[in-house]
Amino acid sequence: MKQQSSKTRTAEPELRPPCPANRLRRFLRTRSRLSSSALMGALLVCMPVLLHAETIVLDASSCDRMAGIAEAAPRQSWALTEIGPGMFSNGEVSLAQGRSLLIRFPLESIPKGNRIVHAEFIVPIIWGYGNEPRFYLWRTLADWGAGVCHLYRQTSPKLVPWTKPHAGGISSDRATRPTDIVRVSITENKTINVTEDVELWYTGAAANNGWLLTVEDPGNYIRVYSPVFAYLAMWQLRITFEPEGQ
Amino acid sequence: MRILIIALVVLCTAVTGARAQGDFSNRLVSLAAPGANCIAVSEAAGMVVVGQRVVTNHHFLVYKLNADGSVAVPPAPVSFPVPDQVKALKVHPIGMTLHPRLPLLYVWRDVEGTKPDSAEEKAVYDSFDHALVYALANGTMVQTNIFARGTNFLCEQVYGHLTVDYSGRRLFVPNLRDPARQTAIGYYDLDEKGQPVPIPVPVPGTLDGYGVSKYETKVLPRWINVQSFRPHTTGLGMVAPNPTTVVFSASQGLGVWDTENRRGYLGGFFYSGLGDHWIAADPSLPVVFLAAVNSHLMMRIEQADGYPTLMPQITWGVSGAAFQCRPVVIPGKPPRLALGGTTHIYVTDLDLNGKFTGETKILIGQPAPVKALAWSPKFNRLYAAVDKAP
Repeated sequence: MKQQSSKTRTAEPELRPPCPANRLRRFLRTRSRLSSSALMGALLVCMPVLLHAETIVLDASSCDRMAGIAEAAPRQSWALTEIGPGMFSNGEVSLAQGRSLLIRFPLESIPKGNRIVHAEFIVPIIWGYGNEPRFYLWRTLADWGAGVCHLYRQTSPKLVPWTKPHAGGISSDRATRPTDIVRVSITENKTINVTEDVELWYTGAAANNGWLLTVEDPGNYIRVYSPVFAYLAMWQLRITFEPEGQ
Repeated sequence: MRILIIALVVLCTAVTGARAQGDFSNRLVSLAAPGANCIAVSEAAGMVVVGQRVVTNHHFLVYKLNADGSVAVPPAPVSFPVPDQVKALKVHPIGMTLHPRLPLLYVWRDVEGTKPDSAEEKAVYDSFDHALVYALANGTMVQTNIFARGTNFLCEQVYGHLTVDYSGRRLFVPNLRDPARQTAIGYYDLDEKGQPVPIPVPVPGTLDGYGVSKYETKVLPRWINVQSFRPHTTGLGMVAPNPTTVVFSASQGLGVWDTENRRGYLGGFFYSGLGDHWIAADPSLPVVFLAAVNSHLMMRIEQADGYPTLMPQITWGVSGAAFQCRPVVIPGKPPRLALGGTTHIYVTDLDLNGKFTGETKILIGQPAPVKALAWSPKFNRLYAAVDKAP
């Protein structure tokens, strides 16, 4: 699996001083310019940190909220694909303009007192159709719940609309910029670097309302294995964390 | 000191009440009847109606209720009219539901013994009405309407659970088919008396020079093809929290028919491995419950205005159970879900949001498969129709 670059991300303010692990990562990025002895030295210095790091893998079975919203089915919560004209279901995810996925992983399984070293989100792509198909991964800002759909972020116990339909409000429903824009073409597991999003959620700097996966380009659509019908283990959030202060 | 004694008395009463609430064995009314397959309890009319799917000269057993909710025996047998053209066939009720406000019972019936494209099948299409409406009063049932006849109604169906929406404005019916013989479901709007409202139908051959037909009114359903969601029976249950949206049991999950949206009229929530299942709900909880046929798999999912939403909760209930009928919600604090098995009734605890807590009580001693369940909030009793051998 090839790691997806995050070129579209904006620089966000540093939340805390760089930890040794971050220093190590930066160091490793520039390893081509360093001698092997320097590399070995750095590894020896940072070895205790690496030994303390843990990685957990959450798959879609651990998701506590998920929804498929579609403009054509404005009140349905599970409109992830249109299997025939006017017929929507969750049997597959077919992202297209006006049809998107909301997905939230709870992070309570990460013990308190840690810092996020790295997080990656794995999306199992079936195929991409159209001209350079790509999907956008957005951090969802607005809280959403029972009855979430194209028009509303919640309908029970009371109606609460999105700022703009389809979680379309920039900086209100979804983040100002996407976490990543991921180009797809063939069947593969796309790995997306989501470290900053997970860090924001874990530290409480932002509420964890999950991600929104959208296709913004007209005419394109992307088929993805359903995270709720049968392929729960294919969707993964891998988080590496280490004790704070290391 | 006095306050302490009062607090102790209140605490003891609460504990005793909680125990009584959790013990269902003394609140079960088991009604054994040959071929029992559906049940309805009318508190207002003081009666229990059990539908039978057997070779007898009647189709229902009607039990009068005593003041405490126990039943008076023996029950009165009741028959519905069967047209002469289909008298050679077996005819039986396969589903029934009560109007939420009026003392009306809606029954869906079907025939057994026809062959495709046979003379018997044509006779059914020409003369047999699937839906009946009964007025219930003082332990008696009087037929007030009969409808649902023609080639767009399936016959030879085993299940035919129909439902009226929570507000009592629409009757949703199963077991329809479209002209291509694919499965469909439909609805009838109900008037203030709970009777189906006729709809205007163009009279063939009356198109005038302005392109306008003459119209007559007929009691016909508005329907929708659900073949891709439910290729065989559509009679395993429906839930209609409002008149415009109905949730129905689909293959591997739930279907939802949004009758107000032409662009996105069908929705489905599917889960691999669910198989066929009954569905049930209660107005007191925004949840739909599923119980797999001949299995012990249970599922619950929230619904908001009739649209399934958020993550389901899927659980294997009591090991070895094989559910035989639609579950029934027992409203309360906490609510519960009762399920019928081959020789047991299972009462599963729910939390206040209708989630399974994992605790299930088993009421043993049923002489035969439990084929239908109904709950009476007024009498605080669970009624079970048990399929006793004739």
